[in-house]
Amino acid sequence: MQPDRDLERELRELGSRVEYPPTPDLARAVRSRLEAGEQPAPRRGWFDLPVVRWTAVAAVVLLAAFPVLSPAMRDTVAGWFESGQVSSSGQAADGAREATPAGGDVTLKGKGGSHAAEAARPSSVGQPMSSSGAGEPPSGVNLGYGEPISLREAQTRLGGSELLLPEALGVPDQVYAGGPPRNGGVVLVYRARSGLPSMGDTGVGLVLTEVPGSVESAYLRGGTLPVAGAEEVSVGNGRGYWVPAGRRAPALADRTGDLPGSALFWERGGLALRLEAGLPKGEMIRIASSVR
Amino acid sequence: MGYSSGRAVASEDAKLAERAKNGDTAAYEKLVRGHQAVAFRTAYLITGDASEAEDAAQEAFVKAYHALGGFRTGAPFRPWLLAVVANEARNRRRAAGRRLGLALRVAGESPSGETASPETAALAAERRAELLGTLGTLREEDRMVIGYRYFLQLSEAEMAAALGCAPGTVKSRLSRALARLRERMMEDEDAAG
Repeated sequence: MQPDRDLERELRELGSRVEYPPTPDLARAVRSRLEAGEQPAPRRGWFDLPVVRWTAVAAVVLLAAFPVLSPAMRDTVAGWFESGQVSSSGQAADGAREATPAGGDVTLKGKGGSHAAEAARPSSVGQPMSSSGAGEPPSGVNLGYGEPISLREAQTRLGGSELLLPEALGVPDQVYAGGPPRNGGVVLVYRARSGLPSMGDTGVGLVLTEVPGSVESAYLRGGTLPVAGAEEVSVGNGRGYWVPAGRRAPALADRTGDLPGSALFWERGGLALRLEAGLPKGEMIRIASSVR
Repeated sequence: MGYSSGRAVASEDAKLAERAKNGDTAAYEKLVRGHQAVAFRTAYLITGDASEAEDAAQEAFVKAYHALGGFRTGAPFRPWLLAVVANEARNRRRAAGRRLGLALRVAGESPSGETASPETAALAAERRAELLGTLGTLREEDRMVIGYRYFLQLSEAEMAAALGCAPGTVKSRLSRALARLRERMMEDEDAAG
């Protein structure tokens, strides 16, 4: 090393050039969690090491829950293992999916602890849209899409793009962010109701995921569209890709695409959109076309 | 940050922390907003992963809120917070079974916009790459103390909190880490002939 080299000056200069990822809006998320009465996640132990945890979860799923799951949900659970990796998406223990044998449901835990899916209709666009109680029956499923947020916060999560809502359905029952997809997306959840059948045993009628960017960057595991298993369709004036229920398009599937319904992918307003529901293709396209 | 503005921030932090202690989540949101960048970057330096850093920092803020009862009134908030953040980030990295990496990107252009001849710029870029590479070969303790000081520009009290050591030992730790970095660079140069 050259004797005249000023290491400390070089380190300072190096430090001034370090490019960090953009700082996320933690303040709002933390406040939402605190106002939802959430406690810190319990301290992790050896059980939380990924290999140990997933081995145990796999054993529980296969030995106990599998026989009592509905056929649709069995396909879903099997799909997780077909993928070759049950990804925690950087959330370790808190992003885990577990089967609960007693109820026969698949329980998905969201980031930072479990969020019961029994959500009230929002009283304000500024309030987180998932809170327990409120007289609604529990759906028996947590969605694993991150933490509940308000519609207003959902708007801020999409950068410069405008949050889109399906006019055919109106305001969602729940909005989530922070789970997969990790790249700045939000997930709008509509409870099963008349004309919107439950997907499997989940109690969820429709899920709309919105991620800045293209379908390829948001949902595709490498490669380009079109992909095997997806049918090209028209959504409004644009192209979309339809994956019928029961069929898998491996390149388009990811953890948040595991609900046992059909899926429709398209782009609008700088967002890559995915609609999941247990509806016929024409009805899915009609709802998708009303998203604006 | 100057001394007077630093005192003003500390005073504002103390007021917000007191309100947060009494359950004022809006005050805590404001407190978090003032420190979320350094908290996230500290977690990122430890985990080397943006998503993991976000989770760690967020969880640390929630934990800190619930631990505010033990926070001494009038004490500086940032060192106390960074201790919680660093601990959470370390635990997450260990739980994930990852070794600490130095996943930093360095800008090619000068932040101050200074221009240099192509030859000078190329030499400087080479030196930075070399320095970053050698830094990455140091043991974790050395990398962190250097990173906290020169990359995050933490104060000695903040470094001590994040490192989990006594404030009086920070200078000697930094000095030893720099000596090892210098030594490693000389070895690399000797090896390169």
